Amino acid sequence: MGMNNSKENLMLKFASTFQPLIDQEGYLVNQNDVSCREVVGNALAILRTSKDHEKSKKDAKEILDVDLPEELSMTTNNVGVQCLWISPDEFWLLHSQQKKAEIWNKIESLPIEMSMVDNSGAYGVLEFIGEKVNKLLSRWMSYDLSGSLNSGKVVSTTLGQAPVIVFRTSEGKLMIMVRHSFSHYVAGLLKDSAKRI
Amino acid sequence: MRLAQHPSHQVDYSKSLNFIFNNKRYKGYEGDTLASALLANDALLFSRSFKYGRKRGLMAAGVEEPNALVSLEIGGRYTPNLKATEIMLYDGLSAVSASNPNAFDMRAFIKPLHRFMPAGFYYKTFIKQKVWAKVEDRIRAFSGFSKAPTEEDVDVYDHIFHHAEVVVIGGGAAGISAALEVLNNSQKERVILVDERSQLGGELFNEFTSDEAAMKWHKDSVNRLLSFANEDSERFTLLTKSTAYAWHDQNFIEVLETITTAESLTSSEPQKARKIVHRIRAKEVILATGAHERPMIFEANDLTNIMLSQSVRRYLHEYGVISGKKVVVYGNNDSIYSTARDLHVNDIECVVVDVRSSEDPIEIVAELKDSDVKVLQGYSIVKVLGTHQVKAVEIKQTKLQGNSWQVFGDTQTLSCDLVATSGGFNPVVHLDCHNGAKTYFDEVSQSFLPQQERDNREVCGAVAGVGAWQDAINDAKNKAQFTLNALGVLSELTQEILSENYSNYFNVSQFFTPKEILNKPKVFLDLQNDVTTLDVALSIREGYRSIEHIKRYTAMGFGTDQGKTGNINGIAVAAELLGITMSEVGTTTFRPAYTGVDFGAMAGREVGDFFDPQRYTTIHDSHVASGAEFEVVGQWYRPWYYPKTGENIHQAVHRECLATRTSLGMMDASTLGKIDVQGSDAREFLSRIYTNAWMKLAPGSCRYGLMCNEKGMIIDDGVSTCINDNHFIMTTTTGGAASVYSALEMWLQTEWSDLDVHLNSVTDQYSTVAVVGPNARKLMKLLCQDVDFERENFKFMQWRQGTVCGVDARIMRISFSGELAYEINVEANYGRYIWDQVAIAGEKWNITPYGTESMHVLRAEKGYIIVGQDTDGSMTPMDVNMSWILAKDKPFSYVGRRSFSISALCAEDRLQLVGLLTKDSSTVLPEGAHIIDNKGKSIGYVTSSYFSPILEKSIAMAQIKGGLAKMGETVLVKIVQKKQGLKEIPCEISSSVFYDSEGEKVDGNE
Amino acid sequence: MLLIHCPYCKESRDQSEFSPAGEAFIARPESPEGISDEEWADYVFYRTNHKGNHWEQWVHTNGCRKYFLVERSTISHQILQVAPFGARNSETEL
Repeated sequence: MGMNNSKENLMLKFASTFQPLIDQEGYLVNQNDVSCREVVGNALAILRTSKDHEKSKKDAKEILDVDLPEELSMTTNNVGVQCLWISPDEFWLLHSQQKKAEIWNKIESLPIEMSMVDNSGAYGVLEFIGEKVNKLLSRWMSYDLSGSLNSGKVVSTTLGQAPVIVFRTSEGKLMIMVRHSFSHYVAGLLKDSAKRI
Repeated sequence: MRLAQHPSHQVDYSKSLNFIFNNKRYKGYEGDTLASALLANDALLFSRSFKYGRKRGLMAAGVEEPNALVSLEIGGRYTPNLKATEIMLYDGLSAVSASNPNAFDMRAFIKPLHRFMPAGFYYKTFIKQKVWAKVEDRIRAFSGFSKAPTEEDVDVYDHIFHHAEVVVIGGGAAGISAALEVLNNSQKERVILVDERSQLGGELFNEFTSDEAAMKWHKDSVNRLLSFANEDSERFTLLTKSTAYAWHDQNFIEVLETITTAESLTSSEPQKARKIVHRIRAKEVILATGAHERPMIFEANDLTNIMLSQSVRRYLHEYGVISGKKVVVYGNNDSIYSTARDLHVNDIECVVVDVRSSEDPIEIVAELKDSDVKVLQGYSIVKVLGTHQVKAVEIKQTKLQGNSWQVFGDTQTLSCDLVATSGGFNPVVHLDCHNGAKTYFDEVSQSFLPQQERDNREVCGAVAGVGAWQDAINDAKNKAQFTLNALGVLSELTQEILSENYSNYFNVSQFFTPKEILNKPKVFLDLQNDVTTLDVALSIREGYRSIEHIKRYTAMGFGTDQGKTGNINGIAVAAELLGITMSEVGTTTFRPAYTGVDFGAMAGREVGDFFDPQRYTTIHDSHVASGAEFEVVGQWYRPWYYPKTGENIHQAVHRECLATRTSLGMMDASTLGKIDVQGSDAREFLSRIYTNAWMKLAPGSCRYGLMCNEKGMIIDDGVSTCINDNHFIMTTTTGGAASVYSALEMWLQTEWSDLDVHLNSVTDQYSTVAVVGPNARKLMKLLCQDVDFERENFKFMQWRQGTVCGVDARIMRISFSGELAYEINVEANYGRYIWDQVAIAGEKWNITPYGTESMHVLRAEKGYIIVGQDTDGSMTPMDVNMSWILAKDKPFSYVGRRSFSISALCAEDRLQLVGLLTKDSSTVLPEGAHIIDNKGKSIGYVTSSYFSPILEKSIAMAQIKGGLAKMGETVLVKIVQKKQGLKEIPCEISSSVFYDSEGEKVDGNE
Repeated sequence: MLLIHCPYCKESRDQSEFSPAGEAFIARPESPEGISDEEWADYVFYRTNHKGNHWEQWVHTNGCRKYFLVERSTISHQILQVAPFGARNSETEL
């Protein structure tokens, strides 16, 4: 069977993390006071560094044109790349698919103590908007979203029993990254709790 | 009966509600509790007691109630052992007594025997006779508790996390005042006020009829709080009908909110939560939990209509209900006069009996006397007359001589139909003690008070021994200021001037425990558990001294009320009988939960599908479409087998295995843990954590590794791929992924921080499709044009980068079946696409998807172990006959190596992994079956056992003591069969490689 | 549920984000082959099971994934101090 002319080849190749779970407009939850939508099209590179933060900052800027944040749990916005400081030697570069080739072309230039891993397929990104976002998430998250998660902050925590990355991009918008293997579980929790907030 | 309406009443007379209790219909009002509504209907009997089956009515109006246990609703909404005093009435409510007082009761029938059934009776009688196991069910059936639910709970329960700078527990005068003080004097501090009742106010309602200032303060303050809750809901959360039931370490407080209403019981979509557990993390806690009244003790003090004095007041003020017409108010403190005054104001006849002799009479006594209310000071009730309900009391003169109460003189009888008693107040110190604080006995207030200084906590109001409501309000303001200071908020205190109408309820005499009363029968201390003064005396006679032991011997303070009313009296009785002070006796330990918490509420939504995360691969929907049955591995839902119509598991596995061995199979291997290992020391790191050599593994190659812990025991295995000299991708077992990742990080961070290695989990990054069978090469050639699949160019244990159906893929030639096999790894988002493409392209070779069960059979035929099935954490590589994988010449002493030379791990009689063949080749051994020697002693057990379709015989793997030296020997496997019973099956110990022992199949066809 | 301060994230988080990882300051012998079975067993198996203030290892499993040191009272569960790894190597060292 030739692979290039079969009708099966017309099937969608790429399936987003939450594809089986969202509605036609991409929403998991879409209510008056809270909405949760999958954001697709992002790629994720995990940049690991040495303990010398100043050198890492310099290298990241020169080689990848990315400003590393000044403090752990903070984020920076660069052209086409959002940088999240997750762990002392770990930065997540959330970037557009267009930017992907550009970033990975530079991997050979990284110094030996830096490394980078493509984890684009591992996570789905959810965007939460609405005044009851904290109320919805407080069903499942022990983290103090209203008191501690200010704009520009990122934390690695749990939603129910699923590990997640949460960050607030602006006052009214909160993003959560979910490992794809937990996507059914997380979607189930969110849809269920949204009925009772 | 219900009195005329009054503004103090918290019931809504415009909303009438119907309900059913013990199969009888009643009416109540919105705002009633089940208890108040029944009292209003003159229904006084609530239950039978736990041990003796005595008929009991209400004693209290709140959480401390020991008697009125009921079960609510039926079927999937049935809830046992709730207190009628805590159930808010709703329309259509249906409840029955935990132990119906109107039904025939075996315990009451054997009444003449009760005096032969003191504490420890059942224990002594039945344990010695060794018949307890036989009679236990029947004895327990007697007990005064509800039956356990039999149906699954249909309701929904939520959990909500909260964070607050200040949590105020208790919404009485003190709690309201404290919350307001914090809110009024700070800008952004988040405050949560928790109260168990439906209306804020606590005991303050009791002052409404006598003091307008109390009513005004309450109205103003509650309105102010409500406006904070409405206008600034981020900052102030008000939780009513919510009981703080546990205070854990670092100010973690659990609160149970009850929202059972008529609507919540009938509506289904969206389904409302019936109860919510609020989990609050607070910086500062203000405890304003108040105090529970304790009763006076006297003979037959458990008859119906003997109630706590403040509870009588509460029914009167909050619900407009009274259960008698002629009341004796009896006690040892000033609060009884307030009760008498309120009864008198409501035209209810009453007499006051105070054990204290009047030396310095307070104002209110004179007022009562002026109003012709009879006040008897220096008198005590010694006995109550009546069969089930109070008819009269017998009183005698009383005086305190030294430290002992004396009862003397002639007996007088006062007829009455209700006794309101007050033996003083017990500060509700439970929560404070949950996380370690101690109490101390305060002689002035005759109560155990919370320890004074504690970090991040203040106590105010009655729980701190402050007895008058005006004092409690100002005390709370004061303490709230301390809390604000602790939070770094600057503010100034302004004391509030309130009314002068003042009564200190902690003006109290010492515990009234005269010997004349303690020696009488039926002087109950703990009404729920039927513990009397004689039981305590018996336990002391039998040698128990510690109150913890006395509690356990008598059962005093157990049960759903946890002795909230009776325990302190029990301590006083013990002190009296032991001749020591209250302080020396001390209290029993207060542990969470403060009140009963539904199992459903504890579980929250973590039930059913949400009990444990269900992890799916991206190919899951294809498996579902193919009709797969699933097996949970770790948290992953892995296809177990793919039955075709009419097939059972054995038939499906048979077909899947044969198809794979003879042509082509495919499997979703995405669940294996995958760890990306990078850095200039990546090789060195692998050498240290795996037992074999890694220094020479070339880029483009893969290698199997066995991982041990320092104890020398196998913890994981898997294939690692060398991408380049500084980059490897390790695979782990599906279930071991998280723990292996954690263990590896531990080595790197805590011991080998000098190694330049970064680990990243890429488990979710890749979907892995295994293509397995002699025709695998032909299929791969069809799917991927940019990789040379020829046998000599793409060898076993190598990998290539290529494009499969247009998608970037890393293709590994590795095998867990002994067949020619390729594992295609693609970015997860393409997983399902690739799976479907492989399935379509493989049709001409009858490609057959197989699940974990066939995978297990295929690997067992080759003798490959499964870590966690053939090993159990106590197996070394030598034990599983894998000494070949232990590198001898690695310079670094890799993890576990040193343990291999410990004598115990070298012993010859260790359990060792061998093959096992049944003499009758059709008999498949059950996994876990014991293997016995000729003396019948166990020498090991079966770890894996299957029927091999390709070999057409049963094969098994087993751990047998010294098994590797016993090849060819016959052993017996003992099994239990349903009909035949015990059976011994002869088996031969063999090599664990059953199929293709020369390894010829791994290169496939051509 | 404990509230644990992560010295890396510089924030106090719920215990559910962490995993305990045993007693602290148990160093792997430098030359395992050079010591007796007893000394090896002491490293592998024996722990103090101390009552009172106790140094432990914890890992911020669902946070930054870093191991760190915690001094905790095994009586009251109070956490007295936390420290990043390498900041100290024994109980007495300051």
